Amino acid sequence: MICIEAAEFVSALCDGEIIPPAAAEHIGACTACQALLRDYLDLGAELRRTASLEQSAPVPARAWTRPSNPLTAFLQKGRGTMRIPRLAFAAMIAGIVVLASTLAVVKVGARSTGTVVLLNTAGPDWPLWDCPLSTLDPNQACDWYGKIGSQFLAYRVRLLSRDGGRVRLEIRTRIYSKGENLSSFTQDTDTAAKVKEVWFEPGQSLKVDVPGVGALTLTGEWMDHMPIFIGQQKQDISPGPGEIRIASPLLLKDNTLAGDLVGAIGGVFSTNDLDRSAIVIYIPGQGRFLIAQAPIKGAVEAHVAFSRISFEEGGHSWVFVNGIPVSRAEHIWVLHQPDFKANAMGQNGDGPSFGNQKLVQTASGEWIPTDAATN
Amino acid sequence: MASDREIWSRISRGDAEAFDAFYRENAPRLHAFLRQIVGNKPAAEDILQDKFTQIWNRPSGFQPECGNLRGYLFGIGRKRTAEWWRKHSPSETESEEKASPCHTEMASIVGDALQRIPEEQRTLLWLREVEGQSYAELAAILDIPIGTVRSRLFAAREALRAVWHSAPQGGHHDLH
Repeated sequence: MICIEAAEFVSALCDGEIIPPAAAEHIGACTACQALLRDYLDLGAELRRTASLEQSAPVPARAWTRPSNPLTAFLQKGRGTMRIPRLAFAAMIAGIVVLASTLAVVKVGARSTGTVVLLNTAGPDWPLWDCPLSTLDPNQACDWYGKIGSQFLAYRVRLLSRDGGRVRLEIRTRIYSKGENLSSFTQDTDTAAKVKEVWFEPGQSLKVDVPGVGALTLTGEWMDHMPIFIGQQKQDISPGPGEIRIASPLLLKDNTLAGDLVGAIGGVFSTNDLDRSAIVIYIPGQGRFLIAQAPIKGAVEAHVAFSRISFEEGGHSWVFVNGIPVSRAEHIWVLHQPDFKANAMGQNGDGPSFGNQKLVQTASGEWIPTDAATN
Repeated sequence: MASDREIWSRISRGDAEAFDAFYRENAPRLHAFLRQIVGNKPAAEDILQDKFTQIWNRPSGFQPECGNLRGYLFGIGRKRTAEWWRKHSPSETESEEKASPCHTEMASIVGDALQRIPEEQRTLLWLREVEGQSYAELAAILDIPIGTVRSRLFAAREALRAVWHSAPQGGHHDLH
């Protein structure tokens, strides 16, 4: 054996592994391999020393409280398998509009564990606009262009970083003339823009002087999710905590339409171990899909972006294109059962169907649908 | 001392005291790991808080028969860093870190060297050398075959060693 062949086994020795006799014999007699072994051991020790320094830094103390779900009563009614008759479609539409319009905007206090700052900016005379910024995505920005007094103002805010309960903001302003090209405003090379960085603590207000315009007043609050505002009254139509909503979804398989559930509308709540359930969608030729916030046994993790659920499964890319925002979570779980027989759901199998099903946890901690538990 | 299964059971039932103990024990370790992997302190803090909040609000996914609780925690932390890397270019990260006043806090030669090897090798070395994860646990966390762990660890050690020896101190031991 030569050194190059033995080198991987030198590394394995550092991990406490048993190595082949030939490698052990070579390493015992070779000064270069022994020096390599010392190097690896020294590197490991030095990494642990570095880690010891790193871990001495304290992490912020936190209070752990779970958000309560005011809609649990609705869940009790919706539990169990059900199909939504098309005749009930209009009534369900009305119901979900009411639900959306009455959802409270969940604000979580100035010293909260939220990851979104709902930023409000007011000019000298009246409010400009409300804009949410996530602490998890530095590429987001809030932009506003308009007239304040006699001046036209371009205004952009970016959230640069977070330090406990406060955030560092970049505020970019520029006075412009009507009809002026503002394409360079968001670029660092725009010398006409005034840029400043400020620390801002949600729950408090901050004055930012803009020459020629006056003071802008920033206020804000922490939120536990990215709100989705519509209308003048800024109703938040994002789903409730732990909720999954479905309305008239289309299913795309490898970017080709594979199913259309026009009229299917409803939702499930998955707030704790006692109340977990899954959306169930059956599409002839494609099988059954169970969608839940719990990791159902055999499910794949799906990405949620606004009203879309995307996942890879069985060598295909799948996208549910939903009619309303799906969930506050960025990831949910989808179990695809391509060979599922529609008769098992008590259906004739001629067309797509929609409902929900309770999940139960096995003794080993896995989540499975109730029909699998009873089979 | 409570087992991972007992701790997880308590967390799943909403036991805030159990979760706080879990947080206080593991957050500093996970933070150190995340900071090494993303090379950016604010981003590491965001990921850390996001992950603990997510676990607390929706405790799911940990399977005691598949590994220990710390391995599970580092596994989901590592997935989140992978998402973070997909959204951030290496050059962007470098400039952020140079601008950070906290950069001098970990001015060790090996710490700097670690930043100069690929993210996957950095992850592997940290989890093995600092966290003491076994080959089986590493395979689960990184989603690679267990038979690949040994060769990748070797490659990672060689990469780190090469960078380390390119620093002014120390000599290089050539293989022959």
